[in-house]
Amino acid sequence: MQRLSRNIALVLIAGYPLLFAALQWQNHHRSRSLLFHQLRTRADFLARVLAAQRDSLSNIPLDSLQAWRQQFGGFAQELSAREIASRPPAERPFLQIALKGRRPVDLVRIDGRAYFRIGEKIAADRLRLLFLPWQRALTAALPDVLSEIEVSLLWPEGNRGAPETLPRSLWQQVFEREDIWTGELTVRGARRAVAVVPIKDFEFWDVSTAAVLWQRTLRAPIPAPWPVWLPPLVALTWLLALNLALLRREMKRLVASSKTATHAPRRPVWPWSLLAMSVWLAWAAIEWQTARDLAQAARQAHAEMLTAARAYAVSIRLAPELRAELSHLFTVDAIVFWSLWLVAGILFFAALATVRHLSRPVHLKTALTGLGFILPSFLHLLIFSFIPIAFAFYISFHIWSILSPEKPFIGLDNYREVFASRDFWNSLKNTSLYVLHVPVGMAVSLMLALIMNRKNLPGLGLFRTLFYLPSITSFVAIAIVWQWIYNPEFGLLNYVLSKMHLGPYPWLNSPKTALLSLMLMAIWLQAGYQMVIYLAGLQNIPEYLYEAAKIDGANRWQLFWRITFPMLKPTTFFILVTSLIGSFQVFTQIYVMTEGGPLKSTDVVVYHIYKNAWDFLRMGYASAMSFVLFFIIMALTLLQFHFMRRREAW
Amino acid sequence: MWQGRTFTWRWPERLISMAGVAVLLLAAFTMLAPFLWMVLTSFMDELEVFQFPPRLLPERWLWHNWREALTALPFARFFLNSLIMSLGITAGQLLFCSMAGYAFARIRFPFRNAIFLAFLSFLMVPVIVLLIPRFLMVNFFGWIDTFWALIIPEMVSVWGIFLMRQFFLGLPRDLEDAARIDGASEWAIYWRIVLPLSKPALATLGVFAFVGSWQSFLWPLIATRSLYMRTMEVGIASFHTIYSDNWPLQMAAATAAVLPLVALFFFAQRYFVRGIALSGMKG
Repeated sequence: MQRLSRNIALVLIAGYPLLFAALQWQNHHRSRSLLFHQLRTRADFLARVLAAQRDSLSNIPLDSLQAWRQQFGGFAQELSAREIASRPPAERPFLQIALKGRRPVDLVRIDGRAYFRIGEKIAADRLRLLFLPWQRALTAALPDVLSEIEVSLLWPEGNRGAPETLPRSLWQQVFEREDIWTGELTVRGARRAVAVVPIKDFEFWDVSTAAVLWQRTLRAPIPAPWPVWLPPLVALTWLLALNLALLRREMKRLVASSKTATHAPRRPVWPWSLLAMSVWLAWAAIEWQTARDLAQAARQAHAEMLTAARAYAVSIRLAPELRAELSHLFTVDAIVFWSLWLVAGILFFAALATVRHLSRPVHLKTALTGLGFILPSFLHLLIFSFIPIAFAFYISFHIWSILSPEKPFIGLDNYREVFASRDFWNSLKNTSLYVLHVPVGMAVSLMLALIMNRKNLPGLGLFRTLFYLPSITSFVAIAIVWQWIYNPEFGLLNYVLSKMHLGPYPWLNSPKTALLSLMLMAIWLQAGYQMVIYLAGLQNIPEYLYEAAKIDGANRWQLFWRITFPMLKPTTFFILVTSLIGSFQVFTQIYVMTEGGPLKSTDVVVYHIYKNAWDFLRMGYASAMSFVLFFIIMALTLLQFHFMRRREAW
Repeated sequence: MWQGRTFTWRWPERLISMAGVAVLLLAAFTMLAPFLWMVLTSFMDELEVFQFPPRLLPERWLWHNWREALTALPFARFFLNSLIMSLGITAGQLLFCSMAGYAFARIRFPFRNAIFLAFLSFLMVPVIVLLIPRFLMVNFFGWIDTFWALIIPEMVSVWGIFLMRQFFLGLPRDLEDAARIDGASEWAIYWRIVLPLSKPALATLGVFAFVGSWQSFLWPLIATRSLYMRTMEVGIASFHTIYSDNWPLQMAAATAAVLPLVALFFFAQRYFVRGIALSGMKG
């Protein structure tokens, strides 16, 4: 195994100049004219679509929902009233709304049973329409342009209301000049090229709505500020690579755990880390170089396009940002090429190893029997774990919604958006704060376990049962009960605290205390499980250690810190890692109790991902976020293994 | 007290023991109080709960709360769905995990350790990564809103394979070797000899699989669409939303959801404890 990985590393490192040359050649070969031809056709299309849709948009027959649905079928989801009633509010961010007779109506009922959702309510008086047909056409033709339409609901009084994405002064400008505005704006937490198209109302000849188009890509202005993202990337890669080797060793140890544990001699971890480091570095260097070339090219092209024609008004304004797309094309090929190279190498060595392995005298029948025994599990893991991971990886490079048939490829943009998104960082911050309850809870459960670890404790079984009870009951039911306990006015907790002249505290109702409340509940929830494991660990400590120490005159305190705690280190480590991993994925409590609120103060990562995937139907983006979480959890596990091993070796 | 020349104060054992018991009692009460309050509140009047200081005992014991809560949504159906799902998953895990565990523990075949390591590495994958693609796949198979979607994706658990393998490694080989010499096939050894010997491990795995799948929330939430395919957990969450102001009814529903698991736990408690010892994590 060691030699195998070293061989792979060597081949890849040696093969890298080849790869480099091939990529350069490819890049050279893709002539500038081709790139700019693409860019120009897209810009042209955008201008034409905007020109055409400015008229037809206000002409959409909104007389009846049926007509609406027949014309644009597929974007509206039909739900029975019963289903709607049975759904929690988290599933209803879309306002069920229709514009009947040009007048906005909340909650329309058809045949007494069906609702339609065609928009998302973004403010008390504002609605964002989703899945308009021309948007879909635009998305299909321009994978990196996103668009949204905002409709003022306060009709006609609200004509002057600015769309949510626009600053009021800008909206004033658009409203007065009644013309397309283009420029840079901060949308969804990032600077983007934006085009605002005012849409006139035919009856009043007034601007009532606006289409806001923006570019999907989030690529930083070229030249890319690689010094910003490269060092942390390299550091993370280094960490992962370093620990990948350690993981392998850990797992080997796990496999051999039936035998007596011995400390294996430390082996150098260079193949993995060196391989990953060099690959990343070289890749980053290539990307940066290409980006610089393209920036120059794009700057020239921009000048060309400015002189081209006035008909390209929108496109010209958008052109500087579309530079990003040029390098974007390059990224696609690089990823495909690079991964093919890697897969081919791995396959080659796997085949080689198989041949070598099977040439040994192995009873073929036994081998087949063994493989037959694991076949069901193997197939299951392949179909329901491995392929989904690969599939999720694939999805994360696309704009992916179950409702729209177009799934355009957008490269790394989902990941860029993840890292640029303030909401994601907020959810990550909340999750990181939330997992801080683990060590506190572990201290509590260790204390309980220490108290319970005595031979003559009456009712030991009963206590253990009681403590263990919360972790095996229904989490939803517990969440409901705790929500009631946390009720700031009539809840049990504030009552108990008031007896001690404390409080009242708002608990779940205030952004300051909501997360803390959830952490308290998590401690309560997990204490029993952790305590039972601690108890098992305590009972494994041989008695003679204590007796020897007592003879030497050690007191209680010393007994704990010198014997109990060190002997419990593996147990502590196990509980810590499993609880951390579990807490990083907390969902049920959030979903039932707070729905991420108030003010996103309990919006944890998994809930955030769920919201994006199933409420905003942005599955590609959600997949990208889930991979970020995946890497965090993996790095965490490996880091813990790493430190734990090192401490133990002392 | 006097040891040699130095005076050493030893904590009075009895005092410490008493303090410990007091802490335990307090903790046990903290653990139990939410459950108690849940049950008590479930019998209260709808408006009776909105007062401060809260009433601890209901003024009148309203048994019809329960009837009302349990008939508001098809809870019997939820229960049945949860039962079918959990039993299906448990059966699948018992069979497949023990088979794989047996192969990893006893049969020599090429790449055995490598495959086992590959299996183990799936323990690190967070559920949320699998969620979206699994949903899309299941949707593609047309399984959404069926028991297939609920059961099949969970039918093998890596943790279960690991548990069974650990157990099989601890079993004596003599019986198997005797059977092997007599010419029994591996399947016969597994089915006739090893499985009957490993009832405790199977029970442990079964109990964990059952409770784990009963508690699962996110996957049933997205894999089912119609009300009649919801599981108990998802059903209660819906109930919580619909009756968000009526706390007694919610508490009745919550109690109804907790009861089956508590009953199971009291019968199968030792398997939980054994599972922790068995999984090799005892240090």
